[in-house]
Amino acid sequence: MPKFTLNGREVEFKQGETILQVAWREGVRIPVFCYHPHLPVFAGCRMCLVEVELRGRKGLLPSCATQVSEGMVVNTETEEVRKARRDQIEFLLLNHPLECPVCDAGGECDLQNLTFIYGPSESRYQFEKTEKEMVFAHPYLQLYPNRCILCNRCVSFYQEISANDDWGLFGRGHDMRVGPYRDKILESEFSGNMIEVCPLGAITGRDYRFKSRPWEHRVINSISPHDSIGVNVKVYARIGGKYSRGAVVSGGTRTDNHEILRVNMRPNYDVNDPWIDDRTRFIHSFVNSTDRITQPLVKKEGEFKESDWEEVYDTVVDKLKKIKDTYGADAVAALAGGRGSNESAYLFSKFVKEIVGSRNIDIRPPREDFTLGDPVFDVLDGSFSTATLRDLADAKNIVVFGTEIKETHPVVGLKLVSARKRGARIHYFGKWAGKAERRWATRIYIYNIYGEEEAALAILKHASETHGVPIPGLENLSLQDLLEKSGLSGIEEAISENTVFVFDDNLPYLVQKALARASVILNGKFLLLRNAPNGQGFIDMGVSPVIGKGGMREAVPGKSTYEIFEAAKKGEIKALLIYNVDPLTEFPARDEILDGVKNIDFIVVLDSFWNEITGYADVVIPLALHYEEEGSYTNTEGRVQWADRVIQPYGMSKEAWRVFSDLIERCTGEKAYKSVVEVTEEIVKNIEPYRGIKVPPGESFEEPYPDEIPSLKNIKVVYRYPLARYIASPKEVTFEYSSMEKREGRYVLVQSHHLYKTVYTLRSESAAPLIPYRVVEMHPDALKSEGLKDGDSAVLIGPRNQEYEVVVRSNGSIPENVIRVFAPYLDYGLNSLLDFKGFGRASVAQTVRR
Amino acid sequence: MIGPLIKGLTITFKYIFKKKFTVQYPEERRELPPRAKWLHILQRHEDGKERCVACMLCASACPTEAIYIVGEENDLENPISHGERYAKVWDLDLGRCMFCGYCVEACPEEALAMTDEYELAVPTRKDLVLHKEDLLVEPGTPPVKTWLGFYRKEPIGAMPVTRPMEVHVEYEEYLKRRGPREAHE
Ligand code: SF4
Ligand code: SF4
Ligand code: SF4
Ligand code: FES
Repeated sequence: MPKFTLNGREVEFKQGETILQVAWREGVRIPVFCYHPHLPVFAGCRMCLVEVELRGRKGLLPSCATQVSEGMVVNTETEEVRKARRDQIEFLLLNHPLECPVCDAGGECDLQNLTFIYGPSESRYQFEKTEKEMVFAHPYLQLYPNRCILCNRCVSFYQEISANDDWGLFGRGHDMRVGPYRDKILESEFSGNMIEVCPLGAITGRDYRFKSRPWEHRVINSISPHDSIGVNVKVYARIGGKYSRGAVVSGGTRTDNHEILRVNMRPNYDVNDPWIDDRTRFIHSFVNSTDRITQPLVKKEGEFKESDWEEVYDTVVDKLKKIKDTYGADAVAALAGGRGSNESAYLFSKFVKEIVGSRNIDIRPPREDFTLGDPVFDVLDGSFSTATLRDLADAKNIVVFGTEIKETHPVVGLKLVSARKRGARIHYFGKWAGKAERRWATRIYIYNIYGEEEAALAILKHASETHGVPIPGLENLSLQDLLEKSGLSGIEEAISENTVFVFDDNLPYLVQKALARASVILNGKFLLLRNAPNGQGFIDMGVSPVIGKGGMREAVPGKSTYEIFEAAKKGEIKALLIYNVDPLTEFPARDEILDGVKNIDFIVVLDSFWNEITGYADVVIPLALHYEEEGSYTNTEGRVQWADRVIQPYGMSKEAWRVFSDLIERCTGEKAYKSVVEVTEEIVKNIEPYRGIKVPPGESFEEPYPDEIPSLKNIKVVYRYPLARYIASPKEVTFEYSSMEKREGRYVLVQSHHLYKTVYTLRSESAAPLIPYRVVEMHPDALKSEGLKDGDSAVLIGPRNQEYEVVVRSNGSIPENVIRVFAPYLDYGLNSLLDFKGFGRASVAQTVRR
Repeated sequence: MIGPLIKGLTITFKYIFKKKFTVQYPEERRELPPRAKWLHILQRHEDGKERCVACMLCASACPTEAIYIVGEENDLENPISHGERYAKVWDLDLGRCMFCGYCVEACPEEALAMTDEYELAVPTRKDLVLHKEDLLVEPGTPPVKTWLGFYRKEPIGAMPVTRPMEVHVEYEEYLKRRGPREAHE
């Protein structure tokens, strides 16, 4: 290795490394403002000047932008360098307002720290400082241009990493400033990261505003509760009451008076790099929502009576026993929302499947096609993704099918942006495509609203033809036909050997199955994005009617969600356990579900929030929320991560695993689990794919990661460690295809997602300006023909003249006959118009009027 | 035996005719020295706005963790302090305070000062926790010089808000260990 001299020491370096990189690695501290290890080099602040001597010439050079070469002599702490740094800081402070006492970055500000170390004690600047207006570009961000030192970090992040263009650097001289180009809310779903890349307090977060100081924090490692990527975060909490017994702080219902202050990034290069999305960062006030259930409740004579845990457990156990004895275990069903830890899911599934003895348990929405089975399980004998998030960054050819990545799994979008930068070809197949998709897609294919299944089958058909693999059940279909029906062309380009497919688990059964099969045929991989935050974990723990614990096939499959409600309508289901999901606002076909729900004798709702289903419950059990319980979570690629508890459970609520453990104790007489780690140990022992995973001593699982994951074709056992480990055996699968009938109606209702419309955001007061409350989106031409304008309130009329109050927004990228509605439907009951057939294919609205 | 008795009584008689040391406390009070450090007060600007901006430096300087502050954003129409933030909660637990005065020294806004109010006994421990309302002076009260600035000539408020210092070896050591943020690691 070549060598150079650093502060009188011989140091080795790799070709292409900068002085700064080598110096930091060697423990030599060089101060910086504009350099950030994850951002492109800007070299604008000159704080990193060092003295470089090469071939007899000597001078000061910015170390962040100067590559080391053989024989260089670098000195980082000479008198000259110190003087240069001091003068540089004096320059940076010319227009800086020096308002540290009111600034939120005080205590964690690089400018403060470096001024303290290198800066002059007085300024010689005699003139008035330039004053610039404060900028509010996002409900959660505040920019103080006066404080900004124009280091360009935020701009690099915004334009290069997030690939948006509405934030930049403009103006000249004293008037130069950063800021948004338009006075609209920032487009990027990652804008919050600018708070953390900013070396000082020029960009601060409004959620954390003035609450606290960094030295008061307790920092807890956790996982984002919002999506199934399992974004790693640090949660900053502050203890109230410790300092002053008389203090009143928010969150006063908690015994220890902890308060979540903010959520920051925690780098994990396998999952989220360092970046986290705005939903993860800013939405945390739901833990103190007024909708929280604080007490166990039992319904007596039609009214909820406050109760205690003993009574609740007794009621549940007695009733379930009675129902089981009279009607058999099959009359009990259970639904889960996929929000909760693996430990909770494990005990839930243990309680329902082993103690009660019913296999009617599911986490998927009620859909007719899901009665066929679990699509990926049917292809691989295991329900898991074969690709990891890291594979996305290395893939040459990626097909993203039908998934609104920006709205549901924003971090995947960042991976795709960086994949595209590296030269990958990314093909997006969707019902429509907006600006978010165009940030990373190299080519966009739009299929008909009714042509989703045909589009996926066309991909499979093409793959099977090029590879000479016959697909039983599809022989009679021609590629031409399928393409015509789906309205696609030129898909040959999108499909090549080793393609990585990305799709989500809400797509039709046939689509998921076809894409999984296609990826096997192509020796590729697929990333199945779970819509439930811990969907993968729940399925691994056996919360599925067809998949047992640890990915084994259930000998006798149970009822899927759809079948549960169908059976309930017929009166076959007598008891229903509902864990963290509201079938009436999160699922389609609200009216039909309600028919079923009314027919059920005994409903137990375990949830953290009041919602519609709690009204129909006989027993309501308050559960702790994500930040209130510790446990492991499996992300969509199968990675098992640990989240610590941040705050105490609200009111009387308990962690779900405790509730199930208590119920199991009451039924069997076994001792209840003492701690969550005991449950984790049992999981590691009993669930095949989790074997060998270290039981957490309160930290995340950190194990070396194999660089190469062999593709499925060549090897049968896929080791994914610390990913959950599976045996995969791809086999020949049969497809049954019958074309989808169209429905009459002026508009097609398409269920869609919005980043800020989730169960959690709807409960966060601070998210209010971002939530599309009652919003439906329509094409501008359609709006015009109805005589409406963007932002008008209107009435949407269903096929049976049901009326729904909505707010219409215009969206130029959706087709003219589409009305885009956003789940969950807590704000409008629009899910009555959707049916069990699948979203966007059979749901119609007649018209919209003012 | 008689010798020491006379010796003692001589001293007694000597003092009988001198001025008395004892102060008849509740009726009479002794003048305290000007730098006495007793009960804290939170001062106001001349226009009646609070000086404290909830920077929390006093709380972090306090060795006994006696101060608890929660900051809040000012209503720009009707601000409570100068600048954007003010203290929504400013609690002082006198049961913990040891009257070292570090908090006063730390305050960059000269909001915090100590007075010669030493009658601090209260019936319960709980009453020892003083809230902002108890500590704030009435608008229009003349400023008290903080004892740090006792020998200073210039009037209150004339000092620059921040006082950057020369290279601080200890702090540099600390940063080396910790790094100001991840970027420096
Ligand atoms: S706002 Fe912060 S990150 Fe952006 S240019 Fe200014 S100082 Fe740098
Ligand atoms: S005087 Fe000393 S002990 Fe008392 S509050 Fe101030 S810093 Fe704390
Ligand atoms: S140091 Fe002074 S300005 Fe800062 S919080 Fe304490 S009293 Fe208020
Ligand atoms: S860090 Fe090198 S010029 Fe800014």
